[in-house]
Amino acid sequence: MLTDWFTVVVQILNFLILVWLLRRLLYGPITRVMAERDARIQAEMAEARRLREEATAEGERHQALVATFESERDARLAAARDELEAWRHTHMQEVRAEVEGLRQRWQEALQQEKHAFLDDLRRRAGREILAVTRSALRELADVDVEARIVSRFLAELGGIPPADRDALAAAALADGGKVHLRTAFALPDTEQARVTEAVTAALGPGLTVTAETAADLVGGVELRAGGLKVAWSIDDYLTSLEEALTEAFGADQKAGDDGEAARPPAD
Amino acid sequence: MDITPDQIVYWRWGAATLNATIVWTWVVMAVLAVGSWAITRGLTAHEGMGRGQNILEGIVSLIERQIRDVSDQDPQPYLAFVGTLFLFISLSNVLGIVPGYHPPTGSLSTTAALALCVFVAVPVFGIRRQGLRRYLGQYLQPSIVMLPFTIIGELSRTLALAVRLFGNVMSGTVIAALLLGVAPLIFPVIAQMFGLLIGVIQAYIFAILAMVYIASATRAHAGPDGSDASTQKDGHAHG
Repeated sequence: MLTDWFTVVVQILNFLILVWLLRRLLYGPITRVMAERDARIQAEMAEARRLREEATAEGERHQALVATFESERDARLAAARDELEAWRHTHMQEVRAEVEGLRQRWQEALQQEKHAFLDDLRRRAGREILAVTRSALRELADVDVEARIVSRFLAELGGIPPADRDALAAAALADGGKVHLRTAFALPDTEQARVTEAVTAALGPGLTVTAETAADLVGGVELRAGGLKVAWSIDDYLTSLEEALTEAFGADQKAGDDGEAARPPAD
Repeated sequence: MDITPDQIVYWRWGAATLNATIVWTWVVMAVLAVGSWAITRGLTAHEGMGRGQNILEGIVSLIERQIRDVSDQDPQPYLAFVGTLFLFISLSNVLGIVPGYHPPTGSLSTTAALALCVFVAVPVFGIRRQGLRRYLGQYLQPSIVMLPFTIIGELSRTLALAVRLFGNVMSGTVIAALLLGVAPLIFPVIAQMFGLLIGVIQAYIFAILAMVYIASATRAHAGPDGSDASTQKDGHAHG
């Protein structure tokens, strides 16, 4: 007989005991730990999903912020560009006005310098012309230029119309009988006597002639009585010279202005 | 030569005998219990789990998966019973490589005891899941004429379980002993390797067949509309 029923019963008990033992020592702990791990993994997965959703939402919010920022930046840049353009336009107008003002002042200064230069040139030219004339006349004709000037003045005095002469005499009498003689050079006594004689002959006796040297007169003689005067000088020649020079300066300046106007204005 | 370890008796007192089957069963039980206790002492659900825990979790997961595949049910109620069948039979057979060891599964008493356990467990699990009335009603399906055949089928499959396992393990042991006498060098080693393979396969077959029987008892017959009664019950209970 291959089956021992006592052994069968004992083996049944042994197997049931083994089932109980393994349930307590193996299956229970192992399945519990596996369940814990599953729960932990599920929780971590849920947390990961939550974090991913949060990250997605945060990313979308960030993108919206970036879009808003970029649109605001573009708007501000456009506004700043417009403002800058307006500012530049305004200040260009101011700068142009200022440049125009400076240019006008420069033109005025240039005109003043030109007048001063011409005035100075006129005086220098007068002196030089007089000196040259004096030397030339003395060497060529043994003639004193101052004497010739006085003679020319006396001829001028003698040639004035009677009405003017009367007016001049009346002005001298109104001034206490004083007649002022101004010359550009020191008048010798002989010449002064000749002038006094000619004045007396022309305006009448009883007048006192006072002579003085005036530096502003260029090669000339001037007789003043009251508010009237009779004069002769080389001033007229110098005036012609000055007009010629002024005309030449004017032509140069006009050419310069035309050239400047032809250049395109700087923006 | 002893056909069964029942014949190796260490101590006798009346009808009670302490034979090699019982003693080696206790050894296998001790190995399983102490080994499980030693490994499950330091279980962790976090990182850094040990190699033993890894192996045990693999074995338990494998058993659960097999139960789920066979029964299509939650494996938890059957895990202890079916798993213990598999582990006990496997270890009993695998330890056959130890010299002087007598596998308890080579005893018809042991395989009959295990088959009786299955024979009892099938209605226990069936009644617990379906209720007594519904379970007993299965024996009358599809006709009351089938009742004797169903009962014969229950008994014969239990006998088949016991004899199949006993025959395989006993034959393996006998073949190894015979080969040891005929060609003592190479062939016994090959026979032992085949014996290990056959032992594990037999454990798997025994446990799977037990689960199939339990599953057939716990799974109700299809209703007239083709729906499953247990599924309906579950659905109702859960709903």
